[in-house]
Amino acid sequence: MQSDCYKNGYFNIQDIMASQERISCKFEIEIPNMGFLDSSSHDSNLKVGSKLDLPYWLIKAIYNEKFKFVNIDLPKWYKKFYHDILEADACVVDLRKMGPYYYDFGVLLLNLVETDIGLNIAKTLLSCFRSRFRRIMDLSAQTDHRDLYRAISKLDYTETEMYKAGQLDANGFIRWQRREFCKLLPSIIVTANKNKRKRTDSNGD
Amino acid sequence: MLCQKSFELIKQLDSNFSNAHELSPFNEDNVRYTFEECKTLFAQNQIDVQPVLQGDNSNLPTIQMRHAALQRNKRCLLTYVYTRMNWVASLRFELATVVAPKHIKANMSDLEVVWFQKYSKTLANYMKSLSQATQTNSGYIYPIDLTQYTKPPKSLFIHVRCLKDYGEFELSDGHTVSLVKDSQHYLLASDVQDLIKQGILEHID
Repeated sequence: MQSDCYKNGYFNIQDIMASQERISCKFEIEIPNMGFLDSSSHDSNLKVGSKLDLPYWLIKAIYNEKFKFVNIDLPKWYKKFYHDILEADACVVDLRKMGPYYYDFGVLLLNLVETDIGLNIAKTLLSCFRSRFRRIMDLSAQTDHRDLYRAISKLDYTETEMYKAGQLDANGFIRWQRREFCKLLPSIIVTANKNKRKRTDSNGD
Repeated sequence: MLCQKSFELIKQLDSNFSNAHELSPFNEDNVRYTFEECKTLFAQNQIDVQPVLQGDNSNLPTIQMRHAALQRNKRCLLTYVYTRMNWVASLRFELATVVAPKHIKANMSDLEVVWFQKYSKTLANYMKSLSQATQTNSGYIYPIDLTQYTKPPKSLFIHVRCLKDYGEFELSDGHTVSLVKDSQHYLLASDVQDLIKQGILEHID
């Protein structure tokens, strides 16, 4: 079997979460003893032509250069129609709705599809990221949380991480200006636990 | 569905570490279930692989899918223990204590508790060997504690306020101070930074 390449490392949680996203596929051949995957049939074998939504890692095993046991149907978010929408204005699109791991899953998909389709997906992802990047940087520099909520809820996972990193730095800069950076602080584990205690205490009253 | 339980473990990790800095209880049930699933998959594959060895390839897709599931389970399980292990190791540096706090210890599995003890011991040995390497001609050994000064110190002495009653505390020069709630002291930063990390003292300007 060909060696799997793990984009961000074997132990990367984000990568595992992204590779759990489902792709719909249609089986070209009968697969013995795998009938339990299709909950609508009681047959022990998986019939030819049955349509299933399977996670990426499972599809990868049966759809590659060596074997093509299935026909895959790309998720609609990665099709031409949505490419056009993203091209028109990427900033207003709700990427979280299009799968919380839009970029990561998109990159994984490149392993499955033909070169020309893959190139299209890659180009779209890149231009989408480029046009949204500036906005995310602007957002992360703001410290007022009231307006932010709606804007943040449209970011996908990668973007959220980037937003958090930007915000951490913005806060760090403010703290540096106030000369607070050399202050010794309690461990985050202690602080988290203390806040939790307080909440449960007030609930009990 | 294949690999459902092992993916739940990863989801649990994801929600824990991104939102709160605390360890969730070790999910023994899901881990054991995944082990059983792996055993079953492996046994079934061993049976189905016999015809393939004799040149009958009809079972091949099934074997591929089971194999992918095995690999997936392995990855999820390893990531689960590995991420938790790293978190437990960071405890030693975050809290500067060799005993995990009760609320955390309750969520650790037996093996993790043992592992933490061993880790603390190894780290202590390592720090001791470093200290011995600093021995000067006059025989003075400069003690090195790697968990200290994770931030560069601004001054040797700092003002601290007690947040809770701690009792007598022995300083490095042999004197003792009694740390009573709301009392303020001016002490050596190296003596008190562990207590600040644990949330017993507060660093004030």
